[in-house]
Amino acid sequence: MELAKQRYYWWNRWALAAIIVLLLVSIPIFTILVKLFAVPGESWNHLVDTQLLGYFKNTILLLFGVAIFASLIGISAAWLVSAYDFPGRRYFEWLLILPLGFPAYIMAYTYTGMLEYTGPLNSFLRNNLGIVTKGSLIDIMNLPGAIFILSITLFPYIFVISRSSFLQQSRTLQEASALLGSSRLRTFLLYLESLQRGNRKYAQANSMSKPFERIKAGKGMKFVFFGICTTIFLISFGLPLLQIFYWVNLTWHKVASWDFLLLIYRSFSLAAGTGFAVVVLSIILLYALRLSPFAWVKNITKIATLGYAIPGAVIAVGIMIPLLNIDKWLMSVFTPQSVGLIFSGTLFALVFAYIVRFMAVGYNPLDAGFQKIGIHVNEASRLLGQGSMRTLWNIDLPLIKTSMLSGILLVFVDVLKELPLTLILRPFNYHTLATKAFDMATNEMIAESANASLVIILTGILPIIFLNRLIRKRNG
Amino acid sequence: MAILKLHNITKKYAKADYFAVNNVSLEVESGEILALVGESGSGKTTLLRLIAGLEHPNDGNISLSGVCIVNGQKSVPANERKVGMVFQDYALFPHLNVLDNVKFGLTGKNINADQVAKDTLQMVGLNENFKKYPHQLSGGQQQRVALARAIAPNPSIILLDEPFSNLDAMLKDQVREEIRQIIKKTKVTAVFVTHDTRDALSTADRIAILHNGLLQQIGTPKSLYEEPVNAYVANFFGKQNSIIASAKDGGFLTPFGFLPDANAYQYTGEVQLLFRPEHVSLGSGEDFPLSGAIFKVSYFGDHQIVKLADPQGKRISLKTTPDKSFDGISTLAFSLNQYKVISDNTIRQKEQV
Amino acid sequence: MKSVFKIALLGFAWMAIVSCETTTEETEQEVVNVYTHRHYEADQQLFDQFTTETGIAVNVVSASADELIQKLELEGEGSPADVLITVDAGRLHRANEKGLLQAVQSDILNQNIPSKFRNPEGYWFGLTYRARILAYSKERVTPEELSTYEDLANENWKGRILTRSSENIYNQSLMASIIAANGEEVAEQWATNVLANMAREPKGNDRDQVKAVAAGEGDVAIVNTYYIGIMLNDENPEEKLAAEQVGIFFPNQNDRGTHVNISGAGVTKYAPNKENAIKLIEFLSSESAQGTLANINYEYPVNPNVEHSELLKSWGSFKSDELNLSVLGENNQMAVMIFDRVGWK
Repeated sequence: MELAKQRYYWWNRWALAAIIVLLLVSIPIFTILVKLFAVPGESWNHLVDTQLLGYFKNTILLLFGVAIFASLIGISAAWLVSAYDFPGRRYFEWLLILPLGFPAYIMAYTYTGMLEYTGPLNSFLRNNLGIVTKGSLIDIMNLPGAIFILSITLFPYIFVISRSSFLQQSRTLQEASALLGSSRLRTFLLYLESLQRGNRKYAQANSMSKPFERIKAGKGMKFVFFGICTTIFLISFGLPLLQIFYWVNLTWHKVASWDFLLLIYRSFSLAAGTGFAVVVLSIILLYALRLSPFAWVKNITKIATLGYAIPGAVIAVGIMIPLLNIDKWLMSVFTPQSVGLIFSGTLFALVFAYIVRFMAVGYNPLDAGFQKIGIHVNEASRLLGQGSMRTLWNIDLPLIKTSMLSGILLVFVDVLKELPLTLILRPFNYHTLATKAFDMATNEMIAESANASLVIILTGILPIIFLNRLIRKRNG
Repeated sequence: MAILKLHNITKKYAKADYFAVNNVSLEVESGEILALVGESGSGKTTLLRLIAGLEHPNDGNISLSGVCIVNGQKSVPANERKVGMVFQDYALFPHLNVLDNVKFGLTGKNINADQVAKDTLQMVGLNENFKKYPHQLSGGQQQRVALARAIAPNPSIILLDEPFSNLDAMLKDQVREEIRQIIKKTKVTAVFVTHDTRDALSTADRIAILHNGLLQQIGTPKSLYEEPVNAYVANFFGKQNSIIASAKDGGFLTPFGFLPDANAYQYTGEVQLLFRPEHVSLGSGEDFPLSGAIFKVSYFGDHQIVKLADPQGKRISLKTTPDKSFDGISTLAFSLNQYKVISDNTIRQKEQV
Repeated sequence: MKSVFKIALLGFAWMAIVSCETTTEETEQEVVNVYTHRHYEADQQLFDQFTTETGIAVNVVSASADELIQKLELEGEGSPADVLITVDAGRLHRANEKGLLQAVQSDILNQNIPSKFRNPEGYWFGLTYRARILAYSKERVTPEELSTYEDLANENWKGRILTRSSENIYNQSLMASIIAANGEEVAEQWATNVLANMAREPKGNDRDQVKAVAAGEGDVAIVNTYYIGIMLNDENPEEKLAAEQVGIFFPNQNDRGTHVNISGAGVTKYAPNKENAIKLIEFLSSESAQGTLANINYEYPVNPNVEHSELLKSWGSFKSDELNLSVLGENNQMAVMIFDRVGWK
């Protein structure tokens, strides 16, 4: 029998590429795991003795507080816009997602500024109404305050999922919320999915494909509902944004300069480049998975997305240690000064860390995209004689265009907001909008920091609007 | 000449505890249409995907056009096999128009792709709509595009996965015939998968029956109908009576009486007798050794079905001409014109791993 | 496909441009690489001025001192850093203990910086100093009532003291100086009593403490001087108003003097551009640079020849604690532990 060109069926270039990507991405994760088991020092014992219990208690309280409060806002708002018809309902559907663009640390600074003694609220009361309060009228520099800030920045996640659940247009909307997604979202998704399965049974028993009908809110209720939604929007987005505009108005002349434009440009290019890299790497992983004959490969590629669950500062250390070792080895081979820290001391380390941290953000929408188009088109193309690369380029990629765009955008926004990792790994003279805002804020120049914050928030809104339009379009 | 040869093909999915395809060997002749028939889970679609190169067997060899394409752990990738496939969901490329879909497999070949694609489309009965996109076409039209796309690059063999399952019953007969004619016209070898016996009987030259990953029987529709190797195959083609009998000297003792058979000495103990309702004669006297109580008579215009019950209440069906009258008759004597004796365990069972 | 292709291209282009940008800066030009905890606008102005005068480019990484020290440790011999700048002596002392700094002999530095503001062997040099003072409500407190840090533990201040979290280095250094002056036991007792006297839980930054005094939440705040300077010159009139409501009191004038801390710099052990590093520190200690620091950031210049800013002059001169600043570093860990033990958050 004549032998044709044969290969081991489980081997292809994509498998090799995926293994390399996977190894690279998991280096910092394993470094951290190893560090976890290092012998604790004296200061750790001191921490355990005096502080740990308190930290633990605060964390638990914060967790439950935010879960309850954010669910309360998110679910009730979602219920109003899905179940009732009232003035402005269509706008609230997307207005209430906008707070996602507000990084929690900026929200915290902003609210502190709004509510402090010299802030607009207290000043107004003091100067115009003559009401002098002892201390701040509303004090948010405490645990309830922290719960409040985190709740108003996180509730849109719950709002989006609940809305889709209520509308029972489950599939497309949930897909879309997965596009908006993150791992925090995923747990909720699972929960709501099971909830929905229950609903579907119920729906089948009664009215199979009856569309969700909104009840027209009564005359009085109309205003109540409008009022509730407006209040949520103002508190979680409108008022803090106004405060930021106020600060920008005060200080823009000090900040606006060629340097600030350069800062924006650098932040944007860094974020876009990272978004692009994450999407390319995700595609390599997912495509290798798509072509692989083994089901377990899926679980392994998931390792690449673990970084999203690890705090940025920890990832930074996980990146620094191996990269420094490589650099030191290079310097021992060549002369130290001629090489320098070519990996750990440059943007390479920063982009690498962003990729590890935000892989999940790009991976998940692409995974959803690949699953949506199904494997058959890919198989059909290969059976028509096209190799895996040409198939990817001519068939798969054009069909997942929107997923790719979503991936890039979501990573873009996350990188733009990222702070702790950037602070540690940025090279000399390197600022991003987030580090600039943070530097100024820690330097107690909160008004000045608002300029950078404003750019972060406004760019953060862009993908939200884009994704929302995508959801609309899909739902017809 | 056999164009496709499968030798000892075995496939087990990672988490399954049984073989999806178990030690299957078969050959497909050049130019013929072979139907792979079986229930869902029988391994028929897996077998098709193994041939296409979309799945890989744990063991076994496949050769196509005299070239070994699967040899144990090594194989030729799907894109180098020259296999055409029509998917159950057609898998048309939604972002390409009809013409570009068909031209897709023609790129890089030294031919006038445009012309070949148009000719192929016309052959499958599409004369216009070349610039339309798949979602603008009806299901039937989409299937034709998918077929044209698979045929256009002139593959060694084309594979069709449940080609008739998405069509409504009214269209089915017509489409079966059309597809058979298109395939025959292009002289391409075809293997298709179906769960519907009628698809297989009306369209295929030969039929292979799969059950639990095992190849039960392969042959022409006539040979399968008339010479089923076991009750499973027999049951696949119409009603089959099965009665338990014990082998005696000179015949079988059945619940309906003693059936003389000179070959009965070859068997011992309990056997199974299989016969079709139409393979009986009714009458009286020594030539009609079996009899049973009439349970029910159904009239179908061109024939009647008489149901008999044995003393234990087990029923069999007999087919007879529409003119016979059974008024006032409570028992009926009959003989078997043709029957099959099965002595061992009937169907080859799923092999546990 | 076209648009995907465009995006791909755009992404690549971006990446390329960004990476080029950082590499081109590392060409032949003379440089000095600075790890700094200071992130004031005034610093950048001075660095730019240094570059104009000497042609040496200044590359800056700013982060907290602890992170920078850890980074230096990790990088070891390969570290690109030449100068480490922190905002307190304790951290410089710690970096030195870890062997991350090298001794520098410079007549200019010895001349510009009084010996109490620099390490005797030349491992680090103070650039500015700031006093941790008491900002009191002009309405409810007379300066005569105030005397020392120790006095804040007194019962009559119950519910009137304001200060930030003990996580902040300024409070840790203050505690270190109190340990040095009174011993561990007394210091712990002091912390317990001050905590009991607090008007509210420690929170916010120094400016927040001043505002809390203005708002009437408490009467006396422990803060650094320059924050009040910044507030008095803020764009927001409300900030100015708040700062105007507090008076400034330099404690312990009759004994060891007000606690001061420095912001300072040291040359790193493996500095690849040691000469430039020394030049930079010398520049920062020069009269013109010190003038900028004094006028823009309301810090006290270490160079005695430089005039204090008008604002600082208006607060009058004061006696500062003569404690060797290395002690702030030595006592730091004990200070943190005391804070944790007494529950000063």
